[in-house]
This record gives sequence, C-alpha cells and structure tokens, in this order.
Amino acid sequence: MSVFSLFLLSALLFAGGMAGFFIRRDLVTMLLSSEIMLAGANLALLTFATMRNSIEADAIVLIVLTVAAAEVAVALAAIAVVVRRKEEATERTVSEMKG
Amino acid sequence: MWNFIYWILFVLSLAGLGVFLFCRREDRAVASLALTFASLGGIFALMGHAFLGTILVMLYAGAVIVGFIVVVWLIVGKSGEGKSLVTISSIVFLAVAFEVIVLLSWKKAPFKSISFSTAELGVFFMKDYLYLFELTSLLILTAVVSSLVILRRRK
Repeated sequence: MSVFSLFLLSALLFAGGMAGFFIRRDLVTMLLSSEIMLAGANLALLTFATMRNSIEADAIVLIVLTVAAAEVAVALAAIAVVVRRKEEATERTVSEMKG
Repeated sequence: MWNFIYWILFVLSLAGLGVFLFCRREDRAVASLALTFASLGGIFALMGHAFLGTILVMLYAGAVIVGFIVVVWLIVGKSGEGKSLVTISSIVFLAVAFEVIVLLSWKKAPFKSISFSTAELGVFFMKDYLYLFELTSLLILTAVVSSLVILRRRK
C-alpha cells in the first residue's frame, strides 16, 4: 500500500465521478457521481493525514460524510417528488419545473 | 497478506465504479456502488482510520445506497422494468461481509500508523470543533425536516 496508489485511486474515483456526472442524464446517477467525487476527495485528505499523522483530517472527513448524508436525504426526497409528478427524473424535467 | 487485501479492495472499488458507469440497468449500477464504498471503508481501515471506515460502510454502503435503490425502484417500477432483488442483495451482502472481515482483523494490520484513538477524536470534537459539531447536528435536523416537508407537500 503506497501513497502513490492511494492518490491514484483517489484520482480515479474523482475522475469516474466527474465522468458520470457529465455523461449521464438522470438525477440519481448525477447525485451518486457527486458522492463518488466526495469519496475520492476524502481518500486524498486521509492519505495526507496519514502522512502527517494529523487528527484534523479525520474530523473534517467525518463532517463531510455527515453533510453529504444530509444532502442525500433532501435530494432523494426531491427526486421522489419529481418522479411522482413527471414520471421520470432527468435534469431536463427538473429544469422544466417551476417553483 | 495485507498488501494483497489492499489490492483486492483497490480492484473491487474500481470494479464497482466501472459497473456503475457502464451498466444500463440503474438498480444494478447503484447497487454496485455499495461495493465501491465498502471497499473504500476497508482501505480507510487499513490506513488506520477504522472508525471512518466503519462510518463509511454503515452510512454509504448501508443507508445511502439502500435509499437510492428504493428511489430507483420507484422510477424503474413506473417504466415497467423488473427488479433483480437477489443480485442486488448478494452484491451488498458480499461487500459488507468482506468489509467486516477486514475491520475485525484490523488490530493485526501492519499499516496502523495513526497514533490517536476514536476516544481522542471524540475529545477533539468536543473541544476544538464543538461549534462545527453542533452546526452539523442542526444541519441533519434541518435535512430530516425539509425532506419530510418536501415529500408531504401537495400540489
């Protein structure tokens, strides 16, 4: 387990999440892609923390995970409402809806 | 031995990501991410951050992915496609079982390089990051209430 391989995995996760976010059109995939990008960033942060033996990164990653879970709760509710009204959940249906 | 487990987790996390990106069936694609998050949790544990690895498995491979699968079934059910419950359940079960094995064997791992424990992390939160901790709990409460309001709102 080298630092290079950890950063490589982090970069691959971030790139894969970014690709999923921009290539796929449905809201569920876009939201999950952003979660993958966050996971990649968390891995890079923890790798730096392991190198420096720092406790702050653990606290930051824990807060990021919690905030992301809260974001997912609201987003899933919004997607469920979009599906109930429009029968599909893509970014186009959301942009057509007016608040 | 631990290097071998690390590389297995490395490959599994990328395999889950690959299935997520290229699988046409949405429920399978989402379920494959449980594999990615469980493998990442194992890698966190191997790096010495076992607490965060456990949180990642419980929160993401457990709650978040299950929530997404329910929403995907809501969508897929409307379009008339079938549900492969057995496939999804077995993927999630295998990922979490592998993760539990890694976490249970963590005390013997040679990669433990962090010199603080979970208790120290808790003390650190209560001292230095107290306001952030309280703000996060408020945010979670707001998220729960707002998601209920969004779901209960009528036209």
